[in-house]
Formats: sequence, structure tokens, C-alpha cells
Amino acid sequence: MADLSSAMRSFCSLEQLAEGDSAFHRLSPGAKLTITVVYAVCVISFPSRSLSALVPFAAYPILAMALSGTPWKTLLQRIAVAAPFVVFTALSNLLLDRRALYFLGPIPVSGGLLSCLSILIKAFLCVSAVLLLVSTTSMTALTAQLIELHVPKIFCLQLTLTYRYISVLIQQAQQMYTAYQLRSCSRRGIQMRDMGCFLGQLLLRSYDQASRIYCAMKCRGYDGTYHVRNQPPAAAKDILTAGGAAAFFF
Amino acid sequence: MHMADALLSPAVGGAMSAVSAVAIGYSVKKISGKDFDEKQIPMMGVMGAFVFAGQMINFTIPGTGSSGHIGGGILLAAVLGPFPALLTLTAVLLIQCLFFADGGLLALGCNIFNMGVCACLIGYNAIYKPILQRRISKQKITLASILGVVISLQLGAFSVVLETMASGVTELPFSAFVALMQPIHLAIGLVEGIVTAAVLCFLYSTRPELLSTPLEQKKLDRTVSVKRVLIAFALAAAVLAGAVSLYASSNPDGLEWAMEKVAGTTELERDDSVHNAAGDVVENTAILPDYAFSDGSGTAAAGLIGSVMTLAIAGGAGFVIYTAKKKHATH
Amino acid sequence: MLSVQHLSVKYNPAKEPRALRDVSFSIQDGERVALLGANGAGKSTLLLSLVGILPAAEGTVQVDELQLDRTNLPQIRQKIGVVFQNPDDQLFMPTVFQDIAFGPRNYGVPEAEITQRADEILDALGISALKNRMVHKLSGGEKRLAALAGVLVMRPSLLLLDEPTSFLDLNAAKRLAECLRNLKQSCLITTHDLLFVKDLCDRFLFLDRGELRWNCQRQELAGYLADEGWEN
Repeated sequence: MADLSSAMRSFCSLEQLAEGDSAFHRLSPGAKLTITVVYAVCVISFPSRSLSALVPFAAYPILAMALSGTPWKTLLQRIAVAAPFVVFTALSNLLLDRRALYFLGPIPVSGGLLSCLSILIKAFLCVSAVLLLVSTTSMTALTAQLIELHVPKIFCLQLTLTYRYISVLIQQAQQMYTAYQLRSCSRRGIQMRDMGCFLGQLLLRSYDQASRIYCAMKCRGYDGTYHVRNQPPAAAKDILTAGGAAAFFF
Repeated sequence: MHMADALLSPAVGGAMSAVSAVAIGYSVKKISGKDFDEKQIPMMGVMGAFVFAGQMINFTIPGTGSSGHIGGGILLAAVLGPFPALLTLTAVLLIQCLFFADGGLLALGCNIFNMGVCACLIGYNAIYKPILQRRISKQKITLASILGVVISLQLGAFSVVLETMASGVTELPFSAFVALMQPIHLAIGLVEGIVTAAVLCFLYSTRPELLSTPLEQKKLDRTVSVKRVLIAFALAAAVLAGAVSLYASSNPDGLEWAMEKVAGTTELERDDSVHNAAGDVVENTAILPDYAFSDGSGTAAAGLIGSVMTLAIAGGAGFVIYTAKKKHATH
Repeated sequence: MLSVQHLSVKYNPAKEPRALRDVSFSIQDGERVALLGANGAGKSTLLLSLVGILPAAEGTVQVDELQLDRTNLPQIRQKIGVVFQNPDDQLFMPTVFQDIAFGPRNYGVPEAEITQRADEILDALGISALKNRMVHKLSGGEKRLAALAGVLVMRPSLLLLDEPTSFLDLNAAKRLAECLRNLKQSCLITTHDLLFVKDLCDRFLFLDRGELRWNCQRQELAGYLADEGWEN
């Protein structure tokens, strides 16, 4: 299925990027997380019609992409699949608010146009910041950082497992889908009436797999607690970078 | 329906993150409580992966030519119980947010509430469980899952509307927005509800104990009143929504407001500085001094030129770093 | 080192027939034993009951001086390492090293020692290059060896391997056999793959519908197989 395999591909491509090595990759995950959150807060705190003030914010993704050697195309492709809801809201602004605020040469500029573009730019900036974060930081490092931030370990262990088994289940779903397609007279997609069995079977497989995983965990001393290596404390360099970046955004 | 960063104001994003954090914290506490079942964690982990894969399987909706997929909140809650289901869905949303740019980090709190809390805690406890509490049968499962999914989605869609309105980024009037969102989600909910019902009926005929165990578990710990939790949630959400929208209308810029609070001064506001902070960089480099971002046409043009220049400089710097790196690599 | 006496296991206490009936055998230090049998004969059940995941209805399991009961499960599970049939069930952490470290961390082994042990074992199995790789990008053979490493790092004295050659091509199976041959530990290997265990194992057990039918040395194997109608 196109959806399943493309999901897997983008998963792998981001993971591969995260294995790279650059000054930006070497920053601690905590610093990068802080930078990303502060950046996003700054971007979205602009009022709905600001446009020109937002554009300079593109400097961060551009510079960080250059520093980390992230290929432009991969990120741009990912950004292009931005949430349709954002586009819908942005377009509705364009259509609903047609009062011309001023003229740029002969072209009338409406409030709706401004806020529409503003939303799109905001979406672009926030999405690229998050993608930059994952394309330079491995999920393992991010989870370790979550534990540092006192996110409950139960949740972190479960997140780690989910992350690990996504590829396994996508593969299984894909095999089931292929098997279904081969016997369904080339109709596209799964018929809704077969969906109960299809998803139900996949769910049962997952359930049984979880039981086996539990056995395997028990065999290696699992008792409900998740033991992790203590992270090294944040280096001065990381704190400086995060602080500097935050100050810069302000 | 993923809420996105771009449609949020920081205040709404922060408030919803806080609400979701409380829900998650409470769920963790419930799970790791006195009858903690260590098997639940691998179960939740793999089920998360299942929902992730399941959401990507599109099915054709008969007679329409369009396709749909499941959200999975009620399905998860029916198999795992409400609290583990919420945590599981949270992990799924987090991974989607990071790897598939669905929403964003700041909108994560909203999404966990709209899709997780609404389905796993409210929809499950208010609709699904009461219907099946006494006796399980296929008819009841069908009724419970369709109703459960529809109502969860209605709540979720309504939350999206409230969050967007409170953030003040859309020009859509409230009534039009609601009139648009709710019927769409009624249709989506019906389809998803039917599929969820089919999956649960399949499970009921193959492995009935999967469905009955979570229901029985809840019978045991009557000590925690689910109602109380729900009421607390509803109140918190209502108060937050009210407060946030009030303040959003009078004070469109959350960050500015926060800075004012923190710094105890409006000095920043006087020269409109938060909006222009980035512009200051340009101002300092004195390429286009004395321009301000506002909606007047002359200054706007100046602003536009200024920001394009900043962008060009950043782009140039990026290009230089890129080529330098490439050269370095080839040597 | 392992001694099993009159072991019986039931899946469902009330209804079903026993999954294992009155099984007795023992394994000496350093011995490699193959456990043969048809699908559903109870091979996997036997492995899981040896580490107390499935409780025994009757009979005893003794490892060195330790008799398996509810109180000493952690010690028993440190002595007996289980390699599961599907490596995806066993490699539940995202990277190879994290997965190897999972067991020792549960037993409170200090971090420096975990790293050292992991390096030694990865080296011994010839997969040092995989240390920081993502598990889901490994090939079937690599996954199998990584799963083995995660068990060996606990320094067990007995290894239980469930169908180790499933998902492996001939070359990968040969490499695995080589690795197992070099280990000091005793092994109990369940398999359908006679070719794999014929030269690797010293002794052969045959399980049929929950009962142990025969228990023979390598030189006697051909005769037993002929009795079953499998001319070799």
C-alpha cells in the first residue's frame, strides 16, 4: 500500500539523517528541544496579520539545515505534506476578509491575504523546526531526554516499544494488504465490510506479539521498571547555545 | 483532524498542553497504582504501533468513492482500558508529530486532548462502558462503538473549533465554523464507528476475553469515581476555554502579555518590540533604518524589502556553509 | 547442570489435555542437545516452563544447585538464557546496544561493565559493526545474532534456542552454527532443521504430543530416525 510504504520510507530517511554528524547533531537533545519549543512559541505569538516580521524567522531553519547538512529536498518534501486543516483555515481567511488594507503598487492587499500567508508561513516554519529536530536527533536520544525531564518512565518505555514496533507492524499490515489485493480482482483499497476482519486480525497478531515480547522481557529480568543510563549533565556549550538561540529569537 | 501549531496562540497551546499533561499524569498514576500489571507496558507499546499502522490502512467507503481510516481511540480503550489507551495514543501522536509533521510540538497538547482524552476517557467512560457494563452482545458492541466514536469525534471537532477561535487566527465566524466542522465529523464518525464496531465484533467472536477483561477491571476499582474525574475535566476545559478566549480577544499577542507579566513593564510594548525583535537585527545592521512593521503601505513595503533581505542574507550564509562543507568533504 | 524430573504443564487447568506429560531429562555441562518434534509437540512450551514463564503443574526443574520455584525466578533466568524463535519478539529496544543493555541493567550491572561485556560479546559473534545500528534495519541473520548477544551478555550457563534457523538462509545458519560451536555454554536447541543440528549437537530428544519419545546420542540418531520412517 502506498501509504504504508511511503510512511516507512520517510521514517527511515529521517532516521538516516539523524545518524549524521555535525555541530548541530552534536548539540545535546535537550538544547535542541528547548530551541525548537522557544522558536515555535516565538513564531506563533505573532498576530495573525504579521507577515514581514515572520520572514526573518526562516533564518533559523535555513542556517540549521546548512549547519547540519540536511538535504533541502527531503525536508521540503515532508513540509509539503503539511496538514490540510491549516490550508483550509488559511484559505477561508483569504476568502472571508477581502477588505483592501493598502495597495502595493497596483495590487490591492487584503487583510485576508495577509493572514492567509501568515498562517502558511507559520505552518512552514514550525513544521521545518520540528523536522530539523528529528532529522538531527535520534529518537533514542529524545526519549532519554524525556526521562531527564521527568516524564514518567512507564510512558517512555512504552514510547520506545511503540517506536520499535511500528516498522514490524507496518510490514505485517503490508503483507496482509498484498495478500488481500492478490485475491480481490484488482479493486483498489480494502472494502469497508472486510475491514473488521482485516484490522481485527492485525490487532490479534499485535496482541500475541506483545505477549511474546513480554515473555522475552521477563526472561531478561524485566520487573515493570525501566532502567536507563543516566545522561551526562548538559554541557556549558549546550546551555549557551540554547540560551543564545532563545535570546536571538526574541 | 490534527490541530497545527500555526493555528494556535501560545496561550491556548500552553493551556491545552497543561490539561493534557494532567490527564497523562493521572493515567500514569492509575496504571502504576496498586494493581500494576507489568504486562501492560509491552501491550501498550505494541498496540501503539498497531494503531499507527492501522491508521494508514485506507478502506473504500461504499457508494462514495472516497476512502477513510480509523482513529483508534475507542478501539484502544475497549481492548486496553481507558488509561492505558490514552497513554498509547499519546505516544502515537508524539511520533506522528515528530516524524510526519502532523500538528507540531505546541499543538501536541491540543491533539492529545482532541483525539485522546475525548475518545479514551470521555467517550469510553460516558458511552461505551455504560452500554456494555451489564452484558456484552454483538448488537450492544455495535451500538456502543458507533455512539462512542461519533460522540468522541464530535467533542474533538468542537474542541478544534474552540481552540482555533480562542487563538484568534481565523476569520471564520464561530457559527459557520461549527456548522462546517460538526457535520463533517458526524459523517467521519459514523464510518469510523461502523469499522470500529466490526473490529470489536470480530474480536468478540474470536477472543471474547479481550473485550471483557478491561470492563471487568473497571468494576474492581470503584473507589475512583470516573464521574468525578470527568466533571473535573469538563470544568477545567470550560474555565480554560472561557478565560483564554476572553483574554485572546483583548490581548491578541500572548507572548507580549506574558513578557509584560514577567518583566512587570510595558517598555517592550512601547516600541512594539516583540513583533519587531527580529527586525532589530536588520535595523542594527543599518541597511534599512527607521522602518517599522505596520499595515501602512509605505512602511509595509519597506518591511517587506527588509525581511526579504534578511532572508537573502540567511540563504546566502546557508549556501556558503553548504558549499564549504561539500568542498571539505571532497578534499 | 540442568535436570528435569517428571515435568507436566497444563495450559488451561480445567479443560485441555496437558501440554507436557511427565518429561524427564538432563543436560551436562557444555553439552549441546537438540529437541526435535512436530509442530505443536510442546517444544516451545518446554522451553518456557524451564524458565518459569509457564508454571509446572507437576515435577521439578533443577539448574545447578537451584530448584525452580517462584522465589528464585530472577536467579534462574540469569542462569538460563532464552533466544526466541522470532528475533522481533526479543529485540524490543530500538538499537542493538540498547537491547543488549536491557537485561544487565535490570540486574543492576554497572554501566561501564555493560559496555565492556557488550563489546566482548559483539566481538566474539563478529558483529561489532552492528552495535549502534537500528534493529529494524538489520537482516534476518544479523537480528538472530543480535538477539543471541542480548542473551549472552547476561552470562548464562545454559542457552535455550527456539527454532534458531527460522528466517535464516543457509549461509546465515552456517555462521550461527559456528558461533554456537565456539560457546562454552550448554545449549538446548528446538528445531525442525535436522541438517543444522546433526553435527552441532551431541544428543537428541524427540518430543511427541507432549511426551518424550526418545533420548539418544548422536551415533544412535540414524537408527532412531529410521524407526520413525525418515530414512536419512
